[in-house]
Amino acid sequence: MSDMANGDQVAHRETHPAHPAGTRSALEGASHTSQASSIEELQLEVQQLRTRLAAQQHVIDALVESAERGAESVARLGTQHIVEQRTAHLNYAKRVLRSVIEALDGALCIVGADGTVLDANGRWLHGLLPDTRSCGHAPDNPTHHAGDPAADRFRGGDTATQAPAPGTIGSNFFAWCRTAHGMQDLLAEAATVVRDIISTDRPTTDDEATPGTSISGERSVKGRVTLDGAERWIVVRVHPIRDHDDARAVVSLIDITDPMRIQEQLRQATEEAQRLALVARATDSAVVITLPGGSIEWVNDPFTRRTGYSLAEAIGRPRRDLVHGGCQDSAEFAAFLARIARGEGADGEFPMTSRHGDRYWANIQVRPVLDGGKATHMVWVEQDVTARRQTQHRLREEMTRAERLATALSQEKTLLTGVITAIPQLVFWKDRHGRYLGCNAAYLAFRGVHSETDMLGQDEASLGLDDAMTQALHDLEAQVIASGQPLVNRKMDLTDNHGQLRALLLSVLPLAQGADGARGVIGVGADITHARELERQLAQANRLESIGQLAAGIAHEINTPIQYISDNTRFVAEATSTLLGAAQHVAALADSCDAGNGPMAQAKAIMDALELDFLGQEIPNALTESRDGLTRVTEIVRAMKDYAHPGSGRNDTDVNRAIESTVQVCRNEWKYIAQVHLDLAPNAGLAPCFEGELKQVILNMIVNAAHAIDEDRARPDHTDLGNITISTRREAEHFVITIADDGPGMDEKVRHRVFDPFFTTKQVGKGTGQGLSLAHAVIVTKHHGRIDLDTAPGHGATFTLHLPLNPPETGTTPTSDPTATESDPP
Amino acid sequence: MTRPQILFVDDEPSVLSALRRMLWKRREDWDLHWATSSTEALNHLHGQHVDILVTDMRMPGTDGAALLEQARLRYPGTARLVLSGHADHDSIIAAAGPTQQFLSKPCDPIALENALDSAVATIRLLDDAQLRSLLVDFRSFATG
Repeated sequence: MSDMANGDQVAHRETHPAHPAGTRSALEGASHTSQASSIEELQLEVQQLRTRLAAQQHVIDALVESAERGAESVARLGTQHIVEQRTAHLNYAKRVLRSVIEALDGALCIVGADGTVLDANGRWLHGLLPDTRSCGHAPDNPTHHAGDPAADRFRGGDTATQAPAPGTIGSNFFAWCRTAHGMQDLLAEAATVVRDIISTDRPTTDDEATPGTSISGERSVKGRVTLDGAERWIVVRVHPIRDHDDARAVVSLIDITDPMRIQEQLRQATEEAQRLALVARATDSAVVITLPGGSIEWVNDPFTRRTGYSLAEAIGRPRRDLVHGGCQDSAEFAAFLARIARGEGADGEFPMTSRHGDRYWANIQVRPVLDGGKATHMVWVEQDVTARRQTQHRLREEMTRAERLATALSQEKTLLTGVITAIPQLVFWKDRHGRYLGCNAAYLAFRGVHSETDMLGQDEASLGLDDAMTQALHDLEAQVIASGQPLVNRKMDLTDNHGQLRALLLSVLPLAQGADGARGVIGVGADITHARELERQLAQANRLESIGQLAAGIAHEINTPIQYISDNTRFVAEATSTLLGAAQHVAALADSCDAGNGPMAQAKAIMDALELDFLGQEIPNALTESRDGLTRVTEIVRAMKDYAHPGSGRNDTDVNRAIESTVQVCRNEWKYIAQVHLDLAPNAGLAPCFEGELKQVILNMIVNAAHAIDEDRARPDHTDLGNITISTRREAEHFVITIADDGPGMDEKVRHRVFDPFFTTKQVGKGTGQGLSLAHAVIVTKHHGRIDLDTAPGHGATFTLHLPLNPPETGTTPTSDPTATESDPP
Repeated sequence: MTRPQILFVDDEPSVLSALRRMLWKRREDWDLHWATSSTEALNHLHGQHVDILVTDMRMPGTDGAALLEQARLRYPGTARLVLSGHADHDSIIAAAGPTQQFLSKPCDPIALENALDSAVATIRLLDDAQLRSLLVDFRSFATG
């Protein structure tokens, strides 16, 4: 019997596992593994129990059968010996049966035809189930049963008279079923089955019709009961007994709570494992299960697809052996494997090459499967991240490129900003609503705005400068915005924020051409004040030069008639003198003789009529005055020729003569206004000068002085001629020219601006305001000299020009501030 | 001794007639001749000896500078004077070589007479053909 049971156990053990042990254990994890083993054990126990029960049933059957046969043979053979032998045999069998019954885990009782509990094992009587005792159904006297309960039981008959407690031997099974607390439902069902079996002589062959019926006729009910407040699973098995005295059924109660719970856990674990296995199979990631040492136990299909190694090829080989492409030899990969070998989780990303040579990037996450704190397996999840790596790489490249571009752009911007800021032209740009988007330093300075931030976002109205530029810009920008056409090089004269008159060449251009016209405007303004001044000076110089050439030509043309007029005058004077002398002689002769009425008397009369005294006095006077006039004309022509003499470069110049000729040339400007007094040092000598320009300066100064005096003379009490005194002297370092007038003088305000271009106090049309600024440019800038002005209202004005006798080598300096009233010392 | 022969050249006839009147009083001292162009002057020079040539600078056709230069080369014995209204730089430079004295119009009659007198005196002084031809190589000399 024990051999059979063992064989049974072996058979169960072999057929039990549903999955390959490795796969399941790995997927279920540590807890599942231990649960599985305990489920296995418990199930095994249950199985053993059942097997043992079945075996016991056989034993009982066999015993009963042999007992029956024994009785028959006793009767047939009729020998006492045999009876004794059989009785001894039977007693032995009974003892064996009793011990087997007592050894059972479950509670067991035998129910008779009338429902009486005929017999029960210790577990039934002592209470396998806690509530059989707690409900007061504990056996009355355990020792009673301990003696020879089986013998009592099988004596039979007397049990009904004892009226025992429910559940004990001799009590009614059905009554007990009704009173067992917490198990009534289950026991009611069990009672039905028992009743059913008792009432049937033979076990039905249509077992299938009744649920829970086994082939041997055993029927069972299984149910959940509540014992001591805990829920338990109890199975009640009812096994029919045939032809055995009064006994009709063996009822056993087995607590299958633990097996049931384990079964449930097993079921859940299995489901989980199946789900996980599904995931492992279905996932796109390659999944590898290895031992911590790296030896492969299982791989999924994606692994095969990626690496080219099938499950069969991979099993048993180290994961490292299936890595190609060189990464397997890297220190990083070695460290990665070392971590895995220690049973630690590890993450890494490695360049791999498949068996077929495909290169890819694998992101590998390895996690240990722990059992009792020890890693039993390692699960590798390997993801192909080539696309991501490529994307990242591209992204990095893009970013690098973007950064490079940004750097280049920033440099470009810095350069551009630098250029725009540095250029002296005024630059600004605005949106289509006239709001500033930017401007350069020159523009800020011109508008008198402190910083660009004060400008940005403002339009002309909100800026509130209200200068000459405001209106000019408003009109030009409106035109450009409306037409989309640039307006180039508009000349305009504006007063800047310092009150200086500036000439601007302003261009307004559309910023960008959209479908709806200009999106904004760019303004570029060149300050051409200085250029225009130079232009004007050049034009004047050109005009003076042509006038000079003309004057030279005219002088020649005039000189020729003067030549013969003066020659003729002289001839006439001499001839007249001769004639008059002869006439006077003839008159004297006529007077000295007594003429009578003869021809002599007639001659005397003619001579008297001539009034020779008057002619003799007036004809020479007339001719002398004519000659004086011719001399004057000659002088003027010579002065003109001198003045017009352009001179080339800085030459040693007879300044005194230059002054004389200039005074002569502009005589018409002063002769009715003032007297010009020349106080020229006779030994002044030569000075290095730009003669033409110097003469121009002196001319301007004389004309200016004359105009000042004339303005003063316009008042009724100033009718006398004024005085202009020009003097020269030579000092150690300078040739000094002073031009003084006794005109009205100037106040301080005028004095400070007298050299500014375009500044004039004269009536409109009388002056251009250029004279003194030109004087300043010539003396200070060109000659490196100095102009001093000594003046006060009512005290005239004295300009003193200092011309250096030893000027610096450079003839001119390119720029100078024409507004300065004092020059640098030489 | 024969009177000095003086040839005046000017494109303006009035200048010549005025000179003729003014110098009429010296008719005993000099024989005066007149030409209104360089061509006429050169013809005159070709036809008879001239001691002193006095010419204007700016004239139509051959100008004074060219006339003086030809006179210097072909009639080295003739003294050369300029009487011109062109007191400008270029004219003076152009005449500087071939002339011996530069008189500017309008010229004071006394100054002209003095210039002619001194020229005659110089000629008289250097009345030696060889010496005069030597002197020609000095393109100009001051006569005071």
